[in-house]
Amino acid sequence: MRIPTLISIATLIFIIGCGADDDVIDFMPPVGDLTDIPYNPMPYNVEVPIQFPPIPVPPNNALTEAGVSLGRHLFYDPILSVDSSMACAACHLPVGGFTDNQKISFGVGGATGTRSSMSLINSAFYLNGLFWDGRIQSLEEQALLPVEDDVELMHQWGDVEIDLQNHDEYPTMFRQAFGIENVSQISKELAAKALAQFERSIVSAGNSKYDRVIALDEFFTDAEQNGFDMFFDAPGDLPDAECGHCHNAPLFTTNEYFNNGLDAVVSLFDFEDPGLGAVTGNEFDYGKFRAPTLRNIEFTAPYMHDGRFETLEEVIEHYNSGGHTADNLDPLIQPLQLTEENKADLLAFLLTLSDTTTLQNPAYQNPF
Amino acid sequence: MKKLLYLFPFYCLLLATSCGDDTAVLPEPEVTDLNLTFRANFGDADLDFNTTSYDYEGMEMSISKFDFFISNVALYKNVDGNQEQTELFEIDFIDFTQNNNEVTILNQDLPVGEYDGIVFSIGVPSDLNSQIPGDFSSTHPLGFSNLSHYWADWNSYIFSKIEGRLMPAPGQDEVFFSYHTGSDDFFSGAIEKSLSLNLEVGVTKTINFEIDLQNIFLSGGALDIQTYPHSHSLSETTAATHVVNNYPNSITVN
Ligand code: HEC
Ligand code: HEC
Repeated sequence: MRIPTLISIATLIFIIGCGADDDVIDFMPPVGDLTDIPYNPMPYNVEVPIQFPPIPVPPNNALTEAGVSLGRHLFYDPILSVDSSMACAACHLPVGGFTDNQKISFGVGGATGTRSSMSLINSAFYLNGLFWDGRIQSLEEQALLPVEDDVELMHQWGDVEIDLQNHDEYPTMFRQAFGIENVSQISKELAAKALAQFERSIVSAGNSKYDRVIALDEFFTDAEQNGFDMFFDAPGDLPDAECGHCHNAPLFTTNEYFNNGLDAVVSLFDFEDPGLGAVTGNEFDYGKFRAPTLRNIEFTAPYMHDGRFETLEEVIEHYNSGGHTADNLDPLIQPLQLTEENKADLLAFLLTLSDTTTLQNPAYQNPF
Repeated sequence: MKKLLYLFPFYCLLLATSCGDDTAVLPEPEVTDLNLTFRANFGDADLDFNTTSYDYEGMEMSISKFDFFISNVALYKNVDGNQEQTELFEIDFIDFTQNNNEVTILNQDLPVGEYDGIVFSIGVPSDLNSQIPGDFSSTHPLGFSNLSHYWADWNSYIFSKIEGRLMPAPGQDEVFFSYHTGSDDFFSGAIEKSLSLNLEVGVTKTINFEIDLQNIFLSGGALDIQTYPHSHSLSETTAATHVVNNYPNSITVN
C-alpha cells in the first residue's frame, strides 16, 4: 500500500485539524466518502414468459435491485442532456413500445437524426449486434453513446459525471448499486452498466394474446389463426407470407440482417442509408438492416429504419408487392399473392403480439 | 480428469522428492488439443459468397448462404474389431456465411494416442431436436442467438440452409433458391471418415473438413433447381432429400 501517501494525508488532516476551532474532530472522513452507506446488493429477478430462457447477463454486470433502480432513474433523467431538456426516455417511451413514434428521432433542440427509434423490449436477448445496423455489440457499450451524440443528448460525459457526483441522491444510489467507496468513483462506465441493467429488465411479460394462446389459456379467432398460419407458412391452402423466417417466435426477430426490398437502387452502393454495409464494408451488406421484433408492433409506428410506413397495412402491402429487387434482396421477399382477406388476417395476427401489461408495468415507468 | 486425480498423490510425492534435486521431472499430462477446421468449396474453388458466379449445368449460379449443425462428433479407434469412441462435442453450428467460409472449433484435453477416424452427423439428433430454443441458454448454438434455425411448425431445428440464385438464361427471370432441411427424418445419421491421426502432447493438430457444395447439388444427378427452388415445408421434400443424401459423399476429411 501507499503508506507514504496515507501518512501525508493523515498528517494533513492533523494539521488542518489543529488549525481548526476547539470542537476538533480527530479524524474527518475523506471528502466524498460513501462507506457509511450500507452496500447489500440484492439480486433482481427478471421474470420471463413461457418458452424463454433466463435473460443472458454479462458476468460483470449481474442485475441487482439497486442497479436496475439506478438505471431507471438515469434513463428518465434529463441530467444526461446538455441543457437538461431530454432523457433517454424522450425517444424510448413505454407508451410507444419504448419508441418515440416519430419517423426520425429528434435530439436536443430539435436536431434531426437519420433513423427511427427502436423498441427496447427484450433487448437483453439481442446478441447479434444492436442498432438497425448492428454497429454496437452490448447494451453497456450502447448506453455510452446517446449522451455525446450530436443528434441526441449533445452532452459530454465528463460534465455528466461531475453533475452526478454533486447530486443529492445519485452518490447514494451508485454506492448501493456498485459498492463504490467515494463519489469520485462515479463514472460513465458505471452509469452505462446501470442503464444496461434497467434495459435488460424490460422483458415482454408474456401477456400478449399470442403468449396466452401458446400457453393454451386462450384461442385465436379464425382471422388470427389464418394470419398465424400465413406468418409461419403452415401447410394448407393459405398463401405463405414468409414473415416467421426473419421474425421468428418467440422473440419475433431472429436478429439477423436482411435487405427486405424497401429501396430501388442501381448499385448496392446507392442505398441512401447503407445500413450493415457501412459497418462491415462488404458490398452485399449494403442496404441490410436488422429485422426488429414485432412484439408490441401495434404501438411502435411509424415503421422501418426510416419510419417510412405509417401503418401496418402499408407494411403488409410492401411485403405483398415483393419489394424492390437488388442483388442482395432476400430470397423470401417475393410477391406473396395475398388477397384483401389474407392481408386483414395477417394484420389480426400481428395485433395478437400486443402486450400492454409490459408497456404499463410500473417497474418501467418514470420514477420521478 | 479421473486419471489426473489418480496421478495427484504421485505428483505430490514427486514435488516432495524434487526438493534439492534440480533434475526432477513432473509427470507430463497425457492430454492435448485438436482443432477441427471447416471450409466450403464449390468444385475445385473455395466457396465465395454472392460475388462469384459458378457454372451450374450451363447456367450461372451464386451462393448467398450456407450453414449446418454438426453433432455427435467423436474420434474413434478400432480395437479388436470394435470401435472405441472419444467424444469431442455434442453439437455446434457451422456458419460459413458469417465467418468468411472458415470455421475452427478447438477441442481441449483429449487423450493422446493414435486414432483411426472421426464420426459425426449433420443435423440435430432427435433428443435435442425435441427441445426448443428456450430450453437452452441464449448463447448455446440451439438457443435464442440462433432462432433463425428453429421452425416451430416442423417441431424441429433447421439442420442446414443453402441459399442462392440461378440465372437461367439472358432475359429470363433469375431463380432464388433456398433449401432448408429439418425434422428427424432428415438427420444424416453417423457419417464415418477414416484418417490416421496421432495426437501428441504439446502439439495441436488440425483435422480439415472440406464440404463441396457443387457435389451436394450434382451427386446422384443434378438437382433441378428451376423445378424445385425451395424446400421450406415438409411437403416439398425432393430437394431436401437430395441435399441430405449428398452430405456424406460431399465431405472430405484429412
Ligand atoms: C434523440 C432520440 C434518442 C435518445 C435521446 C436516445 N435514443 Fe436510443 N435510439 C434512438 C435511435 C434513433 C435508435 C436507432 C439508431 C440507429 O440504429 O442508428 C436508438 C437505438 C437504441 C438502442 C438499440 C436497440 C436495439 O434493439 O438495437 C438502445 C439499447 C437505446 N437506443 C438505448 C438508449 C439509451 C440507454 C439512451 C439514453 C442514454 C437513449 N437510447 C437515448 C434514439 C434515441
Ligand atoms: C427476409 C427477411 C424478412 C421477411 C421475410 C420479413 N421481414 Fe419484416 N423486416 C425485416 C427487416 C430486415 C426489417 C427492417 C428493415 C428496415 O428497416 O430497413 C423488417 C421490418 C419489419 C417491420 C417494421 C418494424 C419496425 O419496428 O419498424 C414490420 C412491421 C415487419 N417487418 C413485418 C413483417 C411481416 C408482417 C412480414 C411477412 C409478411 C415480414 N415482416 C417479413 C425482415 C423481414
